[in-house]
Amino acid sequence: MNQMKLTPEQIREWGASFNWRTMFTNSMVLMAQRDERIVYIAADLGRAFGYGTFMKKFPERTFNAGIAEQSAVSFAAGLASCGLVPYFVTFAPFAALRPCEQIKMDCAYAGYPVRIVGTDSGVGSCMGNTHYGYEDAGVMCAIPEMTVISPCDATEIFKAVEALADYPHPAYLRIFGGDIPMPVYTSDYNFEIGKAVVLKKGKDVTLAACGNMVTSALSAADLLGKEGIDAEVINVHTLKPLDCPTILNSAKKTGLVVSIEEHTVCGGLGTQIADCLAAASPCARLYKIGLPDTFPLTITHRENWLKNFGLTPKAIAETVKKQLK
Amino acid sequence: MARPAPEIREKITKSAAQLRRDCLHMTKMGGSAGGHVGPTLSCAEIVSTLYNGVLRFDPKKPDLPGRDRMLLSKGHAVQALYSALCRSGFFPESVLDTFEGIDSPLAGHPPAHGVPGIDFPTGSMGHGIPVGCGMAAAAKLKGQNYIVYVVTGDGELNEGSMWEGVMLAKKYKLDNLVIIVDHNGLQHDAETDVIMPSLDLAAKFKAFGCNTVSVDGHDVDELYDALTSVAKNGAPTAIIAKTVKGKGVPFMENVVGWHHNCLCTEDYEAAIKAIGCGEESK
Repeated sequence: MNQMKLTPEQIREWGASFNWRTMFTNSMVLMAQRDERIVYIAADLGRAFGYGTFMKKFPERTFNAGIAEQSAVSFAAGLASCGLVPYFVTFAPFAALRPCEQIKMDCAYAGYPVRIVGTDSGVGSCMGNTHYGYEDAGVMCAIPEMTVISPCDATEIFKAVEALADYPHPAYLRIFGGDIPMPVYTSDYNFEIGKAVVLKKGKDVTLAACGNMVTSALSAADLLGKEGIDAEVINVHTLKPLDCPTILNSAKKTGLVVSIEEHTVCGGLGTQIADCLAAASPCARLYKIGLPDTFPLTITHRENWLKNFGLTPKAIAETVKKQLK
Repeated sequence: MARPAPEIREKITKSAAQLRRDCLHMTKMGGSAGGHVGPTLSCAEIVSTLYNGVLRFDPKKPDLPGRDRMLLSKGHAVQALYSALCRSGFFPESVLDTFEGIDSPLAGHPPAHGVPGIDFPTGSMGHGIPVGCGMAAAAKLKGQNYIVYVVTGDGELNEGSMWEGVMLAKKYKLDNLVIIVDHNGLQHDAETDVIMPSLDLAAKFKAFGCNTVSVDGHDVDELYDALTSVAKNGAPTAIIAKTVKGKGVPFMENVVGWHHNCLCTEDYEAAIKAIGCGEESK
């Protein structure tokens, strides 16, 4: 299926009006109109993502498994084995961890194109540790033949949903809750699963980010630029398969790669990049910025978590300056 | 009661005996790797009735979209499936000799690739019913009339995901889903009554909204009748088949240790003698 042509007005509207959850559902509606194989599976959290919009248009292609994520994934695999393209959608910890074995055996090992969509990942809510998606991407990366995508803004959410319609492999799509940060893309572009995007060229340091941290990386690059540090910013929307050539190309030029993700430093983007750099001739040092290997024990707003964990643009810029010394 | 025609009945009965011989043969060929003999022998009539009197399929076209699906959710009884597929023409007899051997496609549980006729890989307990629900729901969505049969173990019903699947089946009115429970009363560590009591499985499935029937799992007439009389009333069907683990070989019957074991020559010969040589004996 050809990529839908997007206008700057459409991209601007998406970036200004919707939050991540709603943008995902709108993307699903747009795609389901073009592809009758697409099916939406909820686990009693459909209303959180506005799935009513999808259900109203495609009632026969909307399923709600109730609070039963394991059978929901197996059910999705059964549908996929018969030619359908199911997207199973719920909060990240319930999407990736609870049905992990079903994802591994029924989707990845069996080889069926099920899309597991984990929303509200990171520390995006006040609901406490049960609802934080800390390690979801890393766990999914560890499953053989699983693709892991973390889109950076509203446009890229749509692009990912679109690209996954025809993609023959099982995949995990990582979406954040809350409001969409400053949009990264202002005009249409060619999205390719597994192909990282160099958003800003630079020579002093590589900032490799995914998801909502791409915006933060761009803002950090601006701050660094004011101090004469020329940062290269790469949107690594696909954690697996990682676009190692693009990372290495940048790493050889700058000598320092800083990975930035709202995910534990164990197993996510930083770890994937570490594997890539370690296998090549020594060319760059890696410093990982992400959620620490500990459970946050108090409840606070996401903005405070980002400050605490060094994930704001200002904190990122300060970390980069320290690493460059 | 819908009895099978005499020639079908004979075919099913002979097939069940051949399945038992094939199971013993594969276990012997598996050497120290052994095989899940007890669980395979308990579902011999169930699987034979399905493959010789019920399922619609074409061994030359294993991916036919409109074929009935058979999920051996109790995937450790894979030797029953291998025998049924081989004898139905999906692959040659010589492949059975390679069971669990190096480079063999015949793994100890139904694999995802390499064996024609396997509708879905299984072996980790608790997947068959919800996967089957997906297949049955796809049929409804696409207007196809194939039926999905899921053979489960009673121990396997310890897994909550199976009951999640039953709830899904009832909710989505999957009357094209048939669950057959190989109710042999044993699981890996001991009797089900000791490990996790099944209690009244028929009552449980009925409470979950299924059309439920209890049969003698070794009576071909009862199995055939239950499998061919599936009600199309918007509810899934559950057939509780009372069986004996290790059925057909007296020294294996109801013995926990024959859940999985190797077969020495002496035991193999005694077991084959108990089942009878038949025309195609190994």
